[in-house]
Amino acid sequence: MATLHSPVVNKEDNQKISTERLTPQTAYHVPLWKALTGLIMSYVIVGAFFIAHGAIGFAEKGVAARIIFFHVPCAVLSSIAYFVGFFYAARYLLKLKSEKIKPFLDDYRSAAAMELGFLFCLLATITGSIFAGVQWGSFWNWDPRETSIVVMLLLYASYLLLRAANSLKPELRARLSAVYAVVALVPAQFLIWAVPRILATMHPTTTLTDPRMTSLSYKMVLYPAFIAFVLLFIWLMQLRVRMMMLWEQHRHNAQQTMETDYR
Amino acid sequence: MTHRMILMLVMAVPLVVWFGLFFYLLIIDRAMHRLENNQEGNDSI
Repeated sequence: MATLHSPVVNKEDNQKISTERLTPQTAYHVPLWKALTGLIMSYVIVGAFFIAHGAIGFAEKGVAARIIFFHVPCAVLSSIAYFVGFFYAARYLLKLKSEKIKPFLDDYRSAAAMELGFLFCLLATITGSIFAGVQWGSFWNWDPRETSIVVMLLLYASYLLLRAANSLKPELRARLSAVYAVVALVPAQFLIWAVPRILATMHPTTTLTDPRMTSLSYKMVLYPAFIAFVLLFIWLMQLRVRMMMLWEQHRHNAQQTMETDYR
Repeated sequence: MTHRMILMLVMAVPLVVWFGLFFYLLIIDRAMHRLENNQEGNDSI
């Protein structure tokens, strides 16, 4: 029995050794900017409680106002994500016209930005609703900004549904979703910039643009919060794009194996 | 319980959540790094 099994074991061992020699296993080091994201976000959380003082005019001596360090960056990022998604979608369409190679990387980047836009839009809605509940006495007031963020959520959700509906046809999915991301830019920008300025809103509009409106203790936390959230967005987007590329590679390999087996 | 202690307890909640998320992202990042390396290795074979 031992003589029957030994050649198989040796073959497996040989394969293992040869694979280990051929695959370059580079050690993983945490990139500095990712470590920095962790540090800045931790600073923002501690700073929200111990650096920023209670804001004047807010309910319960400004205690509720601490949520703005998370709500405002999420809301700003949800609109920036749309621009990122639009940029890569437009680049995908332009490359599709000019180049023969399918520029799927731009499609993945656009999709990742839109997915994250949906996530941050949802977080902004939830944190905003909690803030409204404490500050204005009701969790939902149909304020123009509240209404526009719901429509933005629907715009993002439609994009995700469009992609999911065409998941079996990657080329059609990429083309349709890129066209949607480009076309929906107009209503998205109208909702973000125009609606809150046309209609009367309870939301403060000059807090960030007018430096006299925000105290130094708030600036010391709010500005790092923007940096931390932007870095987190870049990190999440990078992970998502890498995941999509690995998945595509895996799918391609599986398809090739199936074709070889069939022959 | 002083106001400062209550604040510290409340602060601990988002801080723990953030640490959890941060290390989770690091683990995913490292796992993907390994997968990408294996993929490159397979391609070279």
